[in-house]
Amino acid sequence: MMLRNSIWWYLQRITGAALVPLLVAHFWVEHYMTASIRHGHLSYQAILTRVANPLWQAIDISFLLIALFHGLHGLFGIILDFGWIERRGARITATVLTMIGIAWAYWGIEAFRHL
Amino acid sequence: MSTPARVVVRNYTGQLVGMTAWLLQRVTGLLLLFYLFLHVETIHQLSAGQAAFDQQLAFYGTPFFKLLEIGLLATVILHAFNGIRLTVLDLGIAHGRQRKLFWVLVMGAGTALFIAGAVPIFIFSVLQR
Amino acid sequence: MNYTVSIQRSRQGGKAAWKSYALEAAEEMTVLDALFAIRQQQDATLAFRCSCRVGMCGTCAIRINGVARLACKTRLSALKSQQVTLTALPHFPVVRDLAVALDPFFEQWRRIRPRFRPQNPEASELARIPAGSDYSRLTSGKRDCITCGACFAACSIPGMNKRYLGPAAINRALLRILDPRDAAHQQRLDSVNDLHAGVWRCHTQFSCGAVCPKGINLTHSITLLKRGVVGNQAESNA
Repeated sequence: MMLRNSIWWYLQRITGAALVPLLVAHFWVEHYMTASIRHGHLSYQAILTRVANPLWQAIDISFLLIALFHGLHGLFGIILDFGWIERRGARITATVLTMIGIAWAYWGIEAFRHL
Repeated sequence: MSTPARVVVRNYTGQLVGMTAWLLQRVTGLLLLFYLFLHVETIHQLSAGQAAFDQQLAFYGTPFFKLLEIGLLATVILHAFNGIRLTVLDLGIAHGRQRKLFWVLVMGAGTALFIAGAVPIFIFSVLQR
Repeated sequence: MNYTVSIQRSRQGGKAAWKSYALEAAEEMTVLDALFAIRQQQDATLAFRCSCRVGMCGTCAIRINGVARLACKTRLSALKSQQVTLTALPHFPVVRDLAVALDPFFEQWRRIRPRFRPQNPEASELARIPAGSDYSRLTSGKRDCITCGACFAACSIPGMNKRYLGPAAINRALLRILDPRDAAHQQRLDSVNDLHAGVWRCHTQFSCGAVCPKGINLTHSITLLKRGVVGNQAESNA
């Protein structure tokens, strides 16, 4: 039997752990595969080609969603740490952060649809 | 009179590793969240067409921006490695060695990885221009 | 050995000011010995708390060269410096000089209901916990808290968040939760589960365990509750 709030604590660690391989893969792909670091910059075509591939889209979108949860939940923790908000304030803040997260996710996913 | 700096440093550093790591985690986390915002914005620029995007890319190729990128690498490594350290500690492992874990994993392995990543970026991007 | 003892002195509501004292003292003397020497030989107005002088009561906790410690258990030689800087414990209102009011600490202490609540108050026989039992094993090293407040002072969270229970209160809650004879597990679990005040505001800084004069690994106690490892214990005992 766990404490009621421990699911969030676990999720922060699980998403954090998941972000490590996702980040490594992303960094490698961007700066060493796509970018061809020797030439010093990316090219529009190279990025477009990679990003048009549905597999990369799926990976990138997962990356975004997991990063958004981890980041916004971390921000929630910082706000709580300062002790600025009351009990009801915590629920309101959580709701606001969730809405920001959903909007941000939608904005991110939308970027792929315009290609 | 206030405590001489060298005494403060000596007596504080041992105690403050955990607290500094916490502070670093918070600061790097916020920076990364801000970066994520900028990054999604950039990807949106892809739909602006080749000409506009190439202009953006030219800016991203400047030495100034490459230095920012190196800064990003440092921020990510700090946050990720300390995050791993915290997860290990949260599992109840190595509690007596939490400071060592910081110096070896975050500072030691982190610096090594940072150099491995930053040097190529620096040489091929900043120095070549 | 010649020491310079700098103390941050203040009256309630007044501005703090540093006052330095030159002291000739033996290395084996404790900071508390030094404070007595200053009070007796140089400045009778110096205020500080102490009681047992042997590390049992927790009364003399102050900040010594930046670290929260018991004055009676800190030898001058351990400081590795001839400059001794003393301030009152942070996160507590200062009464005078090095004496603080411990109200913030005990307010949180009371919130976890530290008193033992027996399952059968009418029982005539003592409920015994055999040596080598689960409770004995899990709580070994965690039972010696002397409520000195050093952990509360050392952790940065109580400084930011007045509602945080603090390591000592959470550790005591853990002991009650693990106790098979106690009847109030759920109430204690609820208080440590509080999003604003409970274990979730701990961020594994380890400052608490580092300053505990009894060597309690407080971070470990808090981590056990976070991971829900002790929950099962409470369930099977309820």
